[in-house]
Amino acid sequence: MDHALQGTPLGVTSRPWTGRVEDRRLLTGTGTYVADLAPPGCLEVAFVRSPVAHAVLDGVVIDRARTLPGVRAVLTAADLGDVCDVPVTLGPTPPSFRPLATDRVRYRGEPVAIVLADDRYRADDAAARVDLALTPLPGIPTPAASLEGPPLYGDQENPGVGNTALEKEFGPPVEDGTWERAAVVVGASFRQQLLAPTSLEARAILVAPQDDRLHVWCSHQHPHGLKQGLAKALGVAAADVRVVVPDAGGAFGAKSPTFAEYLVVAHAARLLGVPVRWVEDRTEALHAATRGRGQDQRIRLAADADGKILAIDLQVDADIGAHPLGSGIPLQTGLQASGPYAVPEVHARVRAILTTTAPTFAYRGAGRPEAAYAIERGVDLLARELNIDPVELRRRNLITTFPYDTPTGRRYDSADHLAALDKALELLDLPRWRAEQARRRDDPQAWPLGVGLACYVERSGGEPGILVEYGSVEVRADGTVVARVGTSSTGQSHETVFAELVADVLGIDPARVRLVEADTDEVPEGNGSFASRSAQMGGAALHEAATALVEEARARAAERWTADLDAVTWREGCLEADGRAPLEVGELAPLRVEHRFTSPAAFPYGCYAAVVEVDPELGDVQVLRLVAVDDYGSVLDETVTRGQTLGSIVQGLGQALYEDVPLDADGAAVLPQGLLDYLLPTAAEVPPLALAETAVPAPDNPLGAKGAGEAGCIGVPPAIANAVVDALPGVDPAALQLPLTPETVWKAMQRPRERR
Amino acid sequence: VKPPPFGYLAPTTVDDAVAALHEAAGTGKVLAGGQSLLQDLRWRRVHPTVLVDIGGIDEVAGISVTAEEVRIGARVRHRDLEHPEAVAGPLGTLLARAAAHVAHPPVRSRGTVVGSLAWAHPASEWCGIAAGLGGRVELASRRGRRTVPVAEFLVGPGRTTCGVDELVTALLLPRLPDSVRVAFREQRRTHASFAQVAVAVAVEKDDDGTVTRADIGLSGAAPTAVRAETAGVELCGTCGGPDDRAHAAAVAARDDADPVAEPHAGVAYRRNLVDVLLRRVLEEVA
Repeated sequence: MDHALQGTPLGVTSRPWTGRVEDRRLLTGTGTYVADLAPPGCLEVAFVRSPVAHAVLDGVVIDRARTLPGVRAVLTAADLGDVCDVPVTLGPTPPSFRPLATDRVRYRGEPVAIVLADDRYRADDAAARVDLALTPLPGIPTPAASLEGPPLYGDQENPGVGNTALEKEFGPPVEDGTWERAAVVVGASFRQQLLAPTSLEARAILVAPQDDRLHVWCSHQHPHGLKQGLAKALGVAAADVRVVVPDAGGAFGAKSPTFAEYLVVAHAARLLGVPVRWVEDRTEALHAATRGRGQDQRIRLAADADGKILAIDLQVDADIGAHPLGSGIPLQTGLQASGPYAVPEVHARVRAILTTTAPTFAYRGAGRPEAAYAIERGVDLLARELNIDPVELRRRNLITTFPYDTPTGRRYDSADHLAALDKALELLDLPRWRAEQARRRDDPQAWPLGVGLACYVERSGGEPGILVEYGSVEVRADGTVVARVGTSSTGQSHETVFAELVADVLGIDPARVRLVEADTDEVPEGNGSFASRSAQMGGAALHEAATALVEEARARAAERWTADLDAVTWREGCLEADGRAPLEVGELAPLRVEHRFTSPAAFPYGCYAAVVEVDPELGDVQVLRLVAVDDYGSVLDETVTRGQTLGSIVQGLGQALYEDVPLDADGAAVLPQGLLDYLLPTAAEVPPLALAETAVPAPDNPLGAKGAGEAGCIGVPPAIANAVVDALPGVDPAALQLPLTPETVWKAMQRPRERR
Repeated sequence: VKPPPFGYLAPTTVDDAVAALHEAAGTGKVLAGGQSLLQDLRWRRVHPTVLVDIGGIDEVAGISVTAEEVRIGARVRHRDLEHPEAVAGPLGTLLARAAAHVAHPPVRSRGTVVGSLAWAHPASEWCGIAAGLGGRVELASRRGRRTVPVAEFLVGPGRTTCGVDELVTALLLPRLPDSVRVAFREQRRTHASFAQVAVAVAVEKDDDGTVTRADIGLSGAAPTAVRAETAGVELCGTCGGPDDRAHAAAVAARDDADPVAEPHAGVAYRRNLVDVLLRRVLEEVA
């Protein structure tokens, strides 16, 4: 395998790579996950879940379960007391829903009851003996069916609520005249399939009531959000809830809500007065956890004869599942509707639509991969229609001046798209592949080959409301430094990178710096880790706090010495002034400086390219080459960001070629063999890669940093899809939908493109 | 894995094992490698009162050869067949080609060949080869011992004619003379996923170049693994030229295959896979 990881070191850190602080623990099996925590007397949980997509719940009979040995309690919706409805994190609140189903189930996997037992085996034994009286109802599996169908939250519960949970428009509608005078107009429909985020560790929570407080350990991206969510829903003071995130095995966006299950576990712990733990298993994660993507898209683009894009109209009907947890996610798609291109008229309409499937929420990229896919496939359609080279068409339309305000309300901070495009073409060696493509087109025996590009821009840091992060740096008497930050690592190397960042500002050995995060008693506030915000927001907060600490230490030393501030210098953790013995900063303890960093969002961007060949008889797509050029602004740690790029690329490959949650006619997932049916790419599926970065510093960030981590999920699917379309000129591009499984490609080839 | 409660026995003789199955009166399950059983236990699709672990029974260990047949004991794991030398001649080549497609290495080091027959997954590589070559399955119970042709043993997805009190002790495959040419191909979506379709062939020609034997096994092409009898008959007596091969492949796809639709593997696509893969393997052995 040709992992030519080409690129220039860009890090502010110049020290040699010596591995991560967390590696020894995590790679020797001595990490501590929620599943490793078992306080004495802890009860284990199994949820009883709906086996069908949609039904009236006529009753729940727990008698056969409750009497099993080792079973301590079985609770249903009736036992939830004053527990509030599940907080909806993103988007408007109605319709709301109870943590356990009351009189109707709306997706396969919806929790109906909770069994608490001495061990998980007994809990599962008992869960199988809880009898649900269900009267099946027809399912509403897709947005299209939902728009035509009866209201999912109709009748007595919430009369009048339709199935569109949220509808929003971005930018003024494109003028009719624009479509009419354009040299070409292209349109296409694309399906963004449902994906299962599938982190190595699924969801997990342990709640222990102790000393009138709730102590919570949870595999979570946003511990302060969970603390607030639990406190509010349970009616307790936020100060009486402590949330700690121990080691966590990934999240990918799917671990930031206050899930229904978490409310039920916390309620049960309070009710019974004992620790209660729920560790989601793989089957639950596939059927009952939140999913990502799930959009039906319709895009139209207009361009003049020179290939200048005049207008984009994007219509998105997003499947948000039965519970509107993530109605806000598809709004990102609308906000991003023109991608990296300077387009005078851009309009998007986004509808978040309820269906009888598991809830859709954030998944790595969260709305931006969906936008980039529609745009990039649309741009290729334009290129084909105009007979302009897709590279050239992109050159003519990429934004070149910044800041840039889009018609849909984005302010792009900075970029050099042409540099990223050029770098990608250089790594790709495009002329060589075009020559090979031409050779194969003349050889009837040769498998067709195609090249695809995708330029993207995304957003990192978050949206207004979370564009603030807390950081503090404290020096202790022994000279060690404690850095606190409001982010929450689920595998992003914070212990290594943030300690180095603080150490670099202070000019000390990183071993002297200890990072504390993801403990709401230790860190007073925080917005967690999602939206690629940790380095950009948390890193900047720590940088500013550490910088301020140096100033504070100098001021205190000047005061102690009654010296001029200008005469006091900081050097490697010591304060110095002429005629004074150097003062170790530890002697100034207690010394602690806090900083709340706030800034606008940043906009990472880049260019991806893929070369594929297609087995014309089987429909197999082989990726021969994948090039990724990303710009994360200034990079804090090259190896760590490369890891983020690689991981997101593999997940992007998953969406492009392998992963899919197929639904039956009612909306229940058809995955009888679990991960033998939901196919995740493994190392064996990773094609030859070439990675590189450009680095335009973020103007609004003291580190120059933009978010890294979601890029591959955004760039890979359109690059591969465009390459497949390019390989098969006789095939209707509309038939080439994700995932591009062999059957999908083969079927498309059976139905040649209709010439107009 | 959170199985329902079960008992566990580890007999050391076939007699003890079948006595245990008899005793369990239909509620026992045989544990060999656990490749499929543990999955079904984990999903609580089976609720055996007792697992009869055959891992300590020497009578069902190993591979042995008679004049006519190769006997693959119930303890033989997939990985034991990964090397072509494990079984002499073209049969060893064919088995090794197929073994590389079974799950992935960690599973191959646990799962057993006979277990694959017993669980009768329609996409099982071993079932396809066994059906194609006209193999036999050896069964033991308190009632005695019997052998059953694979074609009569496999009756549907996950269904066989094995009695609830019976233990599959071995798979018997016909030895292939050196003049037989073999090939195997499989379509799967990732390196470790189930076959959508797999095709195994063993073809022999006489001195005149006429095909005298065409054993074709199909996995994933029907509710159970099958021998492509019609295609084999069509191919025999021809010289196995490109048109003959294409014809046989088309016949197999049309007449021998009876595909079941699954997500990303519909009926038409599966027939296409039979057609294309069979044409390609026949070209390999031409």
